[in-house]
Amino acid sequence: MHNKGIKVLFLGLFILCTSCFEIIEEVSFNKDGSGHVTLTVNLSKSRTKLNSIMLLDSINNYKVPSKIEIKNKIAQVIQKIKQIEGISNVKNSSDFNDYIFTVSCNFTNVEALNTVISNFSSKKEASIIKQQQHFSFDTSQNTFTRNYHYDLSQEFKKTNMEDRKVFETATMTTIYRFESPIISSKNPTAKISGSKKAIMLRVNAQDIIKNKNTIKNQIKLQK
Amino acid sequence: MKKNLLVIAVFASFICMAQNIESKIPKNVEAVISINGDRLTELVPISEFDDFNFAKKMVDKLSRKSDSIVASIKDLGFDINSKAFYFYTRTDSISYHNFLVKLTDKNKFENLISARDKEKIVSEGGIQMMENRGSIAIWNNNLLLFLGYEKGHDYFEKNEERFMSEGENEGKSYYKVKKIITSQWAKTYALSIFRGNGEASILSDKDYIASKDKNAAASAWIKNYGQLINSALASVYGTTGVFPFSKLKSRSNLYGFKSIGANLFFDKDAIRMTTETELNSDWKKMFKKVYNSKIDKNFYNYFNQNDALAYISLSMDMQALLEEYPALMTSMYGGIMPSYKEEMDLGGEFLSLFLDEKAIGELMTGDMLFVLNDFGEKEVTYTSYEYDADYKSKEITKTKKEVVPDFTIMIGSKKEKLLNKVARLGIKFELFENKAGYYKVNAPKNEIPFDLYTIVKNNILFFTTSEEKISNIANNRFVKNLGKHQKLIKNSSSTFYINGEKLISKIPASELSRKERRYFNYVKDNFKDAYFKSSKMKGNKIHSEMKINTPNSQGNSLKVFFNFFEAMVKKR
Repeated sequence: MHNKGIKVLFLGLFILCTSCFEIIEEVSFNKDGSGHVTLTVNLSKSRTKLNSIMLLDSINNYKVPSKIEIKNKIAQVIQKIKQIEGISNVKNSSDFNDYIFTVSCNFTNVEALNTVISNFSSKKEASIIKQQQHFSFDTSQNTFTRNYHYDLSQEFKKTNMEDRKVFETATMTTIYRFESPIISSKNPTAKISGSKKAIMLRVNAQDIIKNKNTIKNQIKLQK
Repeated sequence: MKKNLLVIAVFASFICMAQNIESKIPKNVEAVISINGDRLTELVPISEFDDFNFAKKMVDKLSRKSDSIVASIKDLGFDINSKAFYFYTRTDSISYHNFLVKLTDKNKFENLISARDKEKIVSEGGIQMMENRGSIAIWNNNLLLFLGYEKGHDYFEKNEERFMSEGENEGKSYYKVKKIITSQWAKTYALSIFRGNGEASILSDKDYIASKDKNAAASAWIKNYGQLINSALASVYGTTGVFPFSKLKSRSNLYGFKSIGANLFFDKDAIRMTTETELNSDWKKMFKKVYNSKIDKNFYNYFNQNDALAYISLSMDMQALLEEYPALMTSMYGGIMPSYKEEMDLGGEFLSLFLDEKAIGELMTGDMLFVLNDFGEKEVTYTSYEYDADYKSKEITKTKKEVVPDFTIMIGSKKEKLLNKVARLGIKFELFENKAGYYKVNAPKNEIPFDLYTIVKNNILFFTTSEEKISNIANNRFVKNLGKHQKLIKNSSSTFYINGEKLISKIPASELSRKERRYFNYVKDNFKDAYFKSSKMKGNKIHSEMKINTPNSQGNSLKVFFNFFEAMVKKR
């Protein structure tokens, strides 16, 4: 009774704080379609909350994984990525102080890159991702396309209020670099750099969920 | 002469009708809940109740099948102004959930029944009966008994052979035989309840009568909680499972709990629930020893009600707890696993051998007080990224404000010298920092977002997030202000208090979503503070009370509750 009371009180204090996180996808493309990708998940802004959550067994009916379980899971994914054809130089880092996790690797073509992305999802999801071609590079048209298939607003409706709060302040950033200058991009939120060789797109998870914005883009490059 | 007899007969039947329907509840009942409609309608008249949207919806739903217009709950045919009962009974073969309620208008009630079900009604001698699968309803002009029943698996498993060998069951499947038997038995039972139990009624159970409070809006009573849990376990695991639960039936009072009586009140300015839990003699002795102490008076010197959003107090005799613990465990688990009773016993004895109960009892007396003082803002750092003109990222450190709790924990201890030695050792290993008469705990910043200070003084080990507070404690400058809380803490073995009004107003609006803010604001305006407290043993009973104080602007707390419910339903 008493222990429960204390636990509830403490839990309540921390769950009240909304959490924040950002996902950053950085890809540099070479002329031949090969390149280098870095994926970063930065939960540092929610550090305090995560520190408290890590002390619990479960939260909102979700089991809280231990550090070891997280590390094992990451190691598994990395192992899979290493085996993908066309992937090399796989590196990763896990910072449990700041809760920043990164994975980076070289790829020979966008197909390999799509396979990397599909490895973060379930088997069923993975096959859809491959079909949908999250990344595609049309060399004849010199067009790069970022796509995705999830209908987030639908998925979102299935979650409960408590879970929705987690996404309230989350952001997703994509940065793509090319060797040729960018002529145009279809997503009006995306910003082309001064050198015209890089493009950045930052979107709030809320906007993606509400279908107000998207990370989809089509970028046309100079020949 | 005949005329006189007729008058007497009419008069007698009138008395019978007016008689308390409670007398129909049998004495061998397991649990009873009574809802005192008269008390409820006194607090919220039917006309007012009908105006609530949730009430309208409820009436609509109930009367969907009705041909006539139903505008009020009184048009449902139930006697809202009288008492209604739920009770639970069981035999070795069937368990029954019973509802008993007075009717004001039989026709109105019958109107609620669908045309299809109406065909099932059987009338006999002024009594109507309707059977459905697993349920029976019986009523006359002024009383309705509705019961749901369930057959016990064990009984029918054991008696399969016997039933199937009976001539009348020849050629039938056992499934069908079971259905016929249970429905027959349930019908006989229902009729016997409906007609009344006479002297074998619950009204002759003194503990039951004593447990009920006349002023309560609702009361609940469980005859033997331990036994009820036993049988629930037995029905889950069965008697042929891993644990030989069949043996348990003879070992009643498994958990040491006997009867439980609870009463719910809607006072003018508070919603209140009291509970009396009866313990068996073994447990009574143990609990008496463990909860005999009052919280150390020194604790009161460090409590200020203006500085408490919520608190938890605990007063036990740690030494007694450690001494009684092995026996308690044996009595709890020895009963569940009788074949391991000796092992448990020995384990308990060994534990006693290793522990120096007295020394531990001095290190931690068993008194504890946790106070949530406030919510503060604290600057914390986090990592983010900055991008140059070419979107090359650079890691940067940013700061943000975070809400952190301010709290104080007090733990009773008579080993001041020992604790101070620990502190000195802590300083040596740089776990503590020596300040002016108190210590700062050097916890890694990443792991706890607040500062923590500690001191041992007046037989209390303190931990607090406030340097000002610890300094005041160290220098005897702490200003106490107990108000009503001294009484609350002093007279109970445990207290959980929360000042909803203050607590909610302290949470920064930025931390809540719009919906949450609306919800919290409603709670803040309608519920003031609340506590749960549990008393020391009185006789063989533990008394506990939960109370939610409400503003008296709405007349009484039931109105507050209904309005709250209305608001919540609307906001969904």
